[in-house]
Amino acid sequence: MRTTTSNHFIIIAIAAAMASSVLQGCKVQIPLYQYDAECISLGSSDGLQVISISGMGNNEDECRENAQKNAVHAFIFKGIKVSQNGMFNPCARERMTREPMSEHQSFWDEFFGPSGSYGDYITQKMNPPYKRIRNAEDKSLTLFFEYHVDIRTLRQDLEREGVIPSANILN
Amino acid sequence: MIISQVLSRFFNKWLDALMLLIGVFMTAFCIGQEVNKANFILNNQLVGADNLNSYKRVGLTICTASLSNEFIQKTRGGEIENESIYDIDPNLFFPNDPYQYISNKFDINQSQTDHLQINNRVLNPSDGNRTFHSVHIIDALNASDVSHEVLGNLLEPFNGTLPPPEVAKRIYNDATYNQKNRYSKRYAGLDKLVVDSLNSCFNNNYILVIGVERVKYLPEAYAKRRRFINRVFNLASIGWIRMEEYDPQRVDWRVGVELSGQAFLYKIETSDATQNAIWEAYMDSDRSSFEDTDLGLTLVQQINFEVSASASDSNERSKRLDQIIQADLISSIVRRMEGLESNFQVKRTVVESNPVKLEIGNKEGLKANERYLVYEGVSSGPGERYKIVGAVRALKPTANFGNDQGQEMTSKFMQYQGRDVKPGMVVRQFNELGIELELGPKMNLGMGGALPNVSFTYDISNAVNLPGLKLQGSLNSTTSSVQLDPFIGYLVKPDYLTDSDMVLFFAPRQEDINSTWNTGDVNITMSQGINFPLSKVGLVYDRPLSRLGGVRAKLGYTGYDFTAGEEGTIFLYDSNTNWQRNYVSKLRARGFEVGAEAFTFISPSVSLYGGLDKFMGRYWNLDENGIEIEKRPGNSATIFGTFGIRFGF
Repeated sequence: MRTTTSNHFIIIAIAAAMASSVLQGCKVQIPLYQYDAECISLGSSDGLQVISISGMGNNEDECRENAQKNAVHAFIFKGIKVSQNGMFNPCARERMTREPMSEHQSFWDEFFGPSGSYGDYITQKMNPPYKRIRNAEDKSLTLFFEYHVDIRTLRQDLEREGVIPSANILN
Repeated sequence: MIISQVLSRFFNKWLDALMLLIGVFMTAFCIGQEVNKANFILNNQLVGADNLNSYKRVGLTICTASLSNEFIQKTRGGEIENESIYDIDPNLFFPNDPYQYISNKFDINQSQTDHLQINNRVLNPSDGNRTFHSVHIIDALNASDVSHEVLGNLLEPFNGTLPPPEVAKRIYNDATYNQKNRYSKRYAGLDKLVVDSLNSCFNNNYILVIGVERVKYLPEAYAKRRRFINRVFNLASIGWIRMEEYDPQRVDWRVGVELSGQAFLYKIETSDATQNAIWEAYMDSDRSSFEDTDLGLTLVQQINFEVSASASDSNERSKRLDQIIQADLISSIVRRMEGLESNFQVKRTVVESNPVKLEIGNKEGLKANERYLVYEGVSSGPGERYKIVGAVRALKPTANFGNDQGQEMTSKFMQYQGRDVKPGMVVRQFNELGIELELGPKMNLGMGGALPNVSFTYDISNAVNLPGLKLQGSLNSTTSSVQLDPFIGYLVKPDYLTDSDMVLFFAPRQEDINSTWNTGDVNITMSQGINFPLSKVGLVYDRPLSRLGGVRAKLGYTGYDFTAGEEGTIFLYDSNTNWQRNYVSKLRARGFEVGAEAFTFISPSVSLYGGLDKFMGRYWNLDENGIEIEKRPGNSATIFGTFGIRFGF
């Protein structure tokens, strides 16, 4: 009798492990830093710029987190090339550095890591998404947010860390 | 009686097939969903992103036209006579201000309401040639140069300042609070916004031509309604007045009128050359290029309409007849056009869920209980498409006209269908006819047994401006199946009654079935099976509680009609199983019913109803001496459970 009970436990544990692995398998591996960034406007104070940014993920929290990373990443490594209006673009079109992330990989890993400081430069982080797209194939989610990014402070901090060149050099 | 017999036979024959059909529907199509147009037609269809992301206010200009010389029919001494169209002023039905009946979401051009003179040509509606009509209407619109007048109004005042007042108004009305908040700060694209809005103003203008083909006065328009009233409510006949006595300037309760015709919706097409001419007009204060520009008209929608009004409607007694018909005419046509023309449908992004909140309010013409479909973007290959994921209804529209006061003006919506609504999803206005049809068995939980149930509900909340108020009628019938008999009743046939008369036993003893029994002077033969329709008509007030269901209050008029016999079936009531102490009563009871019901939105829908009836019954006592008639009031309490499938349109 005792043997039967323990067998049941083993079977249940195996089933739970299988279910867990199946559920884990449903999660899609989200590619990093793949986004659409568009300028919306200048912010209400100097240094603030308002952009539309997308974030992919398996759920809303993951999308939001990735969108915030993407917003900061866009200003540092890509620049905001496109205006949502299709005409005048007042946002920073030039990237902050031309060096790839690999040049300071450990810094960027920490900066964009779970306890990284990328979120310090974004205000109104809890804005609701204004657009929601679900991938028909892998069911992953892409949310579009409107974020205000404090690029002046961001630039100052990154320059102080020595991971981006001074603005004067770029220009 | 004939109708009820036909219904009874229908149910006898087709009940099983009907129930089987319902079962197939429930299992195959609609588990967990209300069956409606959205589910059957639109579900699983992907909609292009352009249809959902491009909502802009549209300008609407309304013109009227006469499409027939048979414009008026009136009665003299019971004879209907036709008179020429020119005997009556068509503007009688559009006297002053028809715009109060149109949704706030339209920018109405109020300067052009002239009745179109279609070159005095008589267009015969019997031809049924819509193209023919449309061509002549376009000719008339071009002859009046309505298009230039509509767009020209947007240029006024003509002083070269941007944005001009009409455009500024549209920018203000178009933008949500967030947009305006953004623009009012350091918005870099303000010029672009003005340009977009300006182009949008000139590209989104429609002309609605209401072509009246026929006007009917008494008695044609009103006879149907009068017959209906007499039949249902047994009211006294309503009198008529002669046409000559009709004075539109005073209230007369006894007049009815019906308008029928076709409505044409045209879009004013603008080209690049037009937009250049408009800019030139702005910048150089020179309108000559604009006046010379060709403006095309494209017929985008066309419908037939028929509206009627009678001044006897109790809730409309404070209005004149022409105002009533005008309200019906304008509001019903515009509302139908809303359903057809995508640019007329409000679209917005969900900004908050639990509860669902949308930046839609009175400014967008939102009404309580109005339905919006919810879409989620889907990426599959190149491009974005949208898929329906649910539906929401407005709870209380917010007055968002003053949304520049620094507040986020949103209206609350309640989801009643589909999966969770999330921020970022898009909603689109989806008008419904407000008709629900529910089919399924209705179980009498108090007495046992079940009846097939057909109930029809019509939303009248817009007409009375009370969200949730509906008119409901239901019809139930027993069948020949003993298992489905509500009262386990049996027919008996006294030998002194005619063939068409029957007697119904209430809960007789089983051994009495098919036996002949002598009560002195009367021989009664018992047989099995009864038919009777239980009909109800009344008002219901729905209050949804969640997406799963809600509660409903009912106040109605109830009729129990047994189907056999000229004067109603003879009814043999049995308080105990000893039938010898029974008396016979006539199976006709009329009364009022009040009750409450809990129901589910999901399908198969389930509801539980409890109610009280107060009725007047007519009883016939049966003894050895014959039948004695007696009227007696009565009360009854009913508990019904229904289980069925709901079709919403």
